Amino acid sequence: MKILVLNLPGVEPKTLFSDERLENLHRLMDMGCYGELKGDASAWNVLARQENHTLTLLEFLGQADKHCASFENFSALQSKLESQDWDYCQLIDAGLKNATSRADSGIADEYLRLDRELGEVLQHLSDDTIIAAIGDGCFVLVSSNNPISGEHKDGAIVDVAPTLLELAGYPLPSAVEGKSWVAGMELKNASSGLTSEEEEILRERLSGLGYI
Amino acid sequence: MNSIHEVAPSLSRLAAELSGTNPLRVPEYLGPETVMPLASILATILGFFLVFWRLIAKTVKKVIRRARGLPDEMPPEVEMEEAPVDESSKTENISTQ
Amino acid sequence: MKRVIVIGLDGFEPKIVEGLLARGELPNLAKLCEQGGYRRLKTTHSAQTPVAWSTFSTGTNPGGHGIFDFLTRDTKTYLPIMALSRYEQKNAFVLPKVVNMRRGTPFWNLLSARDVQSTIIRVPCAYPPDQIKGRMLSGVGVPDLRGGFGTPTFYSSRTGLSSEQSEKVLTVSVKDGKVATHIVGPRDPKTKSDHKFDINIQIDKPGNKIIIQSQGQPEKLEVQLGKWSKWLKVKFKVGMMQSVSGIVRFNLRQIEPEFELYASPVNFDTEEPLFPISSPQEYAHDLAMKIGRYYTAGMAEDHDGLNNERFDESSYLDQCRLVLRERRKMMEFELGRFESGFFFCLFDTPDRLAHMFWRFTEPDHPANRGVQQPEFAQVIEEHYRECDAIVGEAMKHADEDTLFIVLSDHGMNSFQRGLNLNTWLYENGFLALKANSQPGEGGDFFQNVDWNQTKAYALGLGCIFLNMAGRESNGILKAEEAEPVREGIVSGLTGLVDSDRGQVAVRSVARREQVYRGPYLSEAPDLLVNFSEGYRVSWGTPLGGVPRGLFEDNLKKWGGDHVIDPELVPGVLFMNKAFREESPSLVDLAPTILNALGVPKGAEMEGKDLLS
Repeated sequence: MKILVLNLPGVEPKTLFSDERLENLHRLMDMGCYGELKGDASAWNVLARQENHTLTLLEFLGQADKHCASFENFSALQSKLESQDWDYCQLIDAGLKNATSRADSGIADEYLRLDRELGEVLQHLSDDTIIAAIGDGCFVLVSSNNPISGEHKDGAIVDVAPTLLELAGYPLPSAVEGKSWVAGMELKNASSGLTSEEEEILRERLSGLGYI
Repeated sequence: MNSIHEVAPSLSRLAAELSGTNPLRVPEYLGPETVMPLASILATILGFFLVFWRLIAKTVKKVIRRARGLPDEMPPEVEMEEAPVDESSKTENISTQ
Repeated sequence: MKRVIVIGLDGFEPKIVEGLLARGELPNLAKLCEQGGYRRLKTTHSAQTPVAWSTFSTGTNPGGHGIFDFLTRDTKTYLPIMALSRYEQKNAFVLPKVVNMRRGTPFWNLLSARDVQSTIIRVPCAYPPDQIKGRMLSGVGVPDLRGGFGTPTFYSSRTGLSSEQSEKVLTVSVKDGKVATHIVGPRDPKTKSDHKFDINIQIDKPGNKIIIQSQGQPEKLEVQLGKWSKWLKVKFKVGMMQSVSGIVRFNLRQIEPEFELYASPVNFDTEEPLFPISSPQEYAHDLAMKIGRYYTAGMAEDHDGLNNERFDESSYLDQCRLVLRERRKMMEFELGRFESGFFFCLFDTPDRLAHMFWRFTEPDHPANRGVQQPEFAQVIEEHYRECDAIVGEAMKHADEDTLFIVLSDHGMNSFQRGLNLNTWLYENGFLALKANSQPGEGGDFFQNVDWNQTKAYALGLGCIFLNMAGRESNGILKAEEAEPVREGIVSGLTGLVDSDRGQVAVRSVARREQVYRGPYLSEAPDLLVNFSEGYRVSWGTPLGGVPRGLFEDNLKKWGGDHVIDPELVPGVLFMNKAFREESPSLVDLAPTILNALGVPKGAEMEGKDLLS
């Protein structure tokens, strides 16, 4: 499975979870899990910290010979995604953070822009992609095999990276700072074929014609 | 969909009106006593719009609708008549050549 | 010409029209006939609404637009699927888009390319609507909020009531004159249950009515016993801050001894329809702001409610009248501002009504079950007269420079006996069932079919598909083995006799190459069954069932139909300009209309200008 991480500094939980206009983000929240995060916002991609070295998700996967890339704007990210030739991509979009520090009037618009650009990026993904959007103290995580849905409480920011690795089926490094939220859980897989209930729905839908 | 920009006048202009300053004449010194209330006013206005933007958008749509000559309220739908209308007994004006 | 006005009367049957004309009971159509002319109009293979109107729209045979039936099959799973539109979702993270499976080029696209305006109301198979110069409201093809062709809900305090075809039944209990229940919304794929909109019903027994209280619009809706209520706008929360609106209408059947309430399918709300139903997007709502809320679903008439005996014929008639009057209001409003170009408005009600009331014109129809109801014998003719009045209203807008056309897509006939096509295929060695399975045991969807031994299978309203290797996922027939199978089915089915009645049920079986040509020929059913009058596929056939026995009586209230040999159910064509062609066909309308407006016809259009 591919992993896509969107780091959006400046995005606050209150706005993220309540602004009705953020359609794409809210659809992702419906599909997966979301919540607040404890800890230093800049540690979003940290797997392990030693005295003189911080192991990041990007570095770890790069060492495992995975096709990794990092971007600072959506359009560059989009070109990479269109190529379909990647395992891990991360985006750090500081647009909202800059708008906040300038205290200018465009903050609300920045949220909207992020959601819109996210919407465009979503078009180029395959179903087996894990998406994590991480703001300041908040996150949204979507994965087809994620057994956790709805609000996930008491998560720490350093938990995100190991959780993503486990969902994607990668082995974790020996020393990990956070803990994976799905440790020990059974990961779902996509079902196929019609259950009898779905057959009932199909019949109900098709027979409303009258002719059949 | 109307963006906030189309709907609301410039926030800074609004803020300026509310705080009584003319945006064209920026004071040379912008200290905390000026910036703080300004920021809090901005936050309030922003919050106002975030909460009420849909209502504002609806109001704007209503105004546009009126401008296009459409009614405000939805007229009543076709419903069951009290007495059945016998269409065949009406003499229809047939268009002449 | 500056203007072309076309009024569609779905299913208008020539024999009835000709009888009424002769008695002078259709004054406006008679006038049209005098001004120009009247002919029977050749319909499509098969004679169905979506097929015929698509041919009208594109001017090509079905092989040129790809709509052969309401249903087709998924070659991977053999499941019957809706043929008119498909929902495509690029991936799990984006919203699905609806794609119109009627291909070809509708003639109004050619008009738009030349800047000729069109107003098109409820043409079938235009969902999502075509982007044209002018305005369009989608018709047949638009689903209800549950994603199907129309699923009503029946609330009853009776226990042990089960769902009939295409409906939801909710058992409710009355406590202190109150009922707490909900409107059934779209299915939530996450929880695999239905979204709900809560309603609280207050019963007013002396007033013979109920009040439905909810968070909808209006918050209090009055529903009188036996009468169709006004619309209730409802909202389903389908996600965090994501909701979808719909509109529902009610008919209160009984207060005591049992509480029984019928709710129509949840139609798309015009303000924020789930998928686009008009072009431009805001047109559907603008229209509602002019004429009030209206049925947006493709199948507006509530035939399911009548078929399942949730209400009676009088209520069905009332509901049909509502739909007819609504459509008439749309037509009158748009004709009122129609200046030039193309105008089209379709009235579906004559077709639906005739399906449900045909049996009253045939005393020995099995669905009558020996009971005669002469009060309904004249309903169809009365309705035809109402339609004639509507034509008269429209004709007021036809001047010297207007080509005025009235047409139907096919006729109507009797449906007394059904043939279990899959069972015939089974009995003749073309279809195989799993070991120890017998016809009548499995349900729909080819449950007990053994694909490894099956050469042909039937679904839809008269389609037979071969189980081809390389085409069907479990296909067994190689290319050279196909013809003997086809030949076997053609010779076996042609002239098939219903021994119980001593009548020939199947007049002929057509190979698709005989009746279709064009880019979508490969999607067509391999064989088409042409039934005699009174016959069609049985109720168990269209969704892939294999019932027991070959023939069965049609006992449902849907007692008339037209999915038989197209030669037996032509439509009607009236024009206000004289035309010489003795046997016009649906493909001729597109070139005729285009030419009248000075626009050259498309290269793939197969018909001719009837006025040249």
